[in-house]
Amino acid sequence: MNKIALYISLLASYFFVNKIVAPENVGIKAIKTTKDLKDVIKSSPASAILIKTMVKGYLIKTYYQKYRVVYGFYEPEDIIVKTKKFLAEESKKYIGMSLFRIQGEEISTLPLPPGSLFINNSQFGRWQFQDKIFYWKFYANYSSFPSILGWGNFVPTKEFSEKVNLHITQNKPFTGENKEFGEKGFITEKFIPVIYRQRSPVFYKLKYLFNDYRKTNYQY
Amino acid sequence: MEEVLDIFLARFIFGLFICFIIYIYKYAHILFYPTGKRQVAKSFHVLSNSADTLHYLSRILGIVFILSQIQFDRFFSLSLNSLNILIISLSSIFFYLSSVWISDTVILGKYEYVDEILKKNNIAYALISLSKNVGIALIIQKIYLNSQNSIIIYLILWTFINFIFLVISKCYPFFSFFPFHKMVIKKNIGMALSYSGFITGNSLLFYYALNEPNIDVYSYLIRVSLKVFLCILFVPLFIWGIKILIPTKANQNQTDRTLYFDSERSLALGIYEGISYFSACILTSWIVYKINLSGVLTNY
Repeated sequence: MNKIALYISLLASYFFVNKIVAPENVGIKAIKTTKDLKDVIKSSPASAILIKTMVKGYLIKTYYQKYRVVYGFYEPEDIIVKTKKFLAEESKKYIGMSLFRIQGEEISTLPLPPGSLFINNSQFGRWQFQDKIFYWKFYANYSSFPSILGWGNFVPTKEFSEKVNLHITQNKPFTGENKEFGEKGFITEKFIPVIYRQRSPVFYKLKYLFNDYRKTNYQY
Repeated sequence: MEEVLDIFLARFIFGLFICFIIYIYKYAHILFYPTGKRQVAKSFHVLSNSADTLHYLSRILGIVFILSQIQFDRFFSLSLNSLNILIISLSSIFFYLSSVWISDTVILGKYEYVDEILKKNNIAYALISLSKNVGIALIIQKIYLNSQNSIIIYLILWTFINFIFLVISKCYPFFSFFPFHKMVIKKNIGMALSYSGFITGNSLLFYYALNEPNIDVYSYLIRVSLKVFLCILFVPLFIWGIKILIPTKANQNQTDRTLYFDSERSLALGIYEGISYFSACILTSWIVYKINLSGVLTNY
């Protein structure tokens, strides 16, 4: 009995020590909701765009999300955070969209097109009138923003900006006027390659395994 | 032909050089073991005392293991590399003898070399020394390989690993039916074999644990400790499994003290314990070091 108790205490201490000091666990922050990204993001204003959702583990899964954090006054950075299954599942359909924004003390976690934070903000650009339509143009210092945000050829209009504001007021996710962003958005598809968004095969079919084995070993 | 002859001669000279280092080792040995002066003297005869021969040659075997890992690449001049080999060899001799001395003090501190080996010809004591010395040699060899030619890293690793090794060596009563100290006095070979299996198995696990890539000493030590910790958790499981598969009567009747005085039965039990522990260590090394389960991130 004593030996069993000793073994259990050893097992518990192993898990405890592993959680605290294991190099693979150190440095990756865990988030329960997208709001917790505020602990990872170092400056304001900033917008976090979901790039990828990943999973690790055989029997007990651990979920990871990769975000591109676009700062107003710093270089953008890619971060990986540990997350819960429900959050990974829920935010999967908003891939390529901004899931977290911070401006001063104000935090928003409503899924919006990437760069919504910087549109209609005179610190970063201005409206340009052309062919009876107002287009958003970033200043020269921020000319790399469209490619960082994954816009491609997309140029936001004033109407787009107004719709973003309307959705913020209604607290409803917005995937673009023509659903340009998100899991099925055509701009996101260009920005994030399909291979990143495809779910990895969970099981390798037995038929393929035997075929591969036969081809590798008995081809000649 | 000249080139072949040149390389052959160079190897021959290195052979002589390493023999010279072993000759130095022979005398360095007296610094740590003044009582073992007799082993170095010309009067020492291998046939006179089998325990003494085993005890002394186990240390020679240990240093040979360590020296065999020193690498020579002729990138620089021959003299510079030879000096490098000399420094590494001398430091290895120092650290190896220090480790052996510390382990002797911790594990066999209750016994005197003169009493047990010279007077009593205690082969059990010598067998324990053999396994311990070879185990330490394997560990020091690995420490040398992972120290990146830095004496500071070497010192840190040496202190840390020696400490864990000694702590685990003292855990023998947790796994064996034999009372260690009583059996050493009684010159019980069964217990010596059991302890040899225990210590060699542990050394094997340490040897594998030190195989981790050493980029940063701090994280390396953490990874090594966690691997050792994992081994501590798996070894009992395998021992338990082996005990279920191959049960002994000793399992059911631990209080049977007559077992210790019956040399035939205790020898069998010692062999059983030693081999089962060693097998458990090999299986643990497979579970912990050969199965890589980390770092597989897939799209979700």
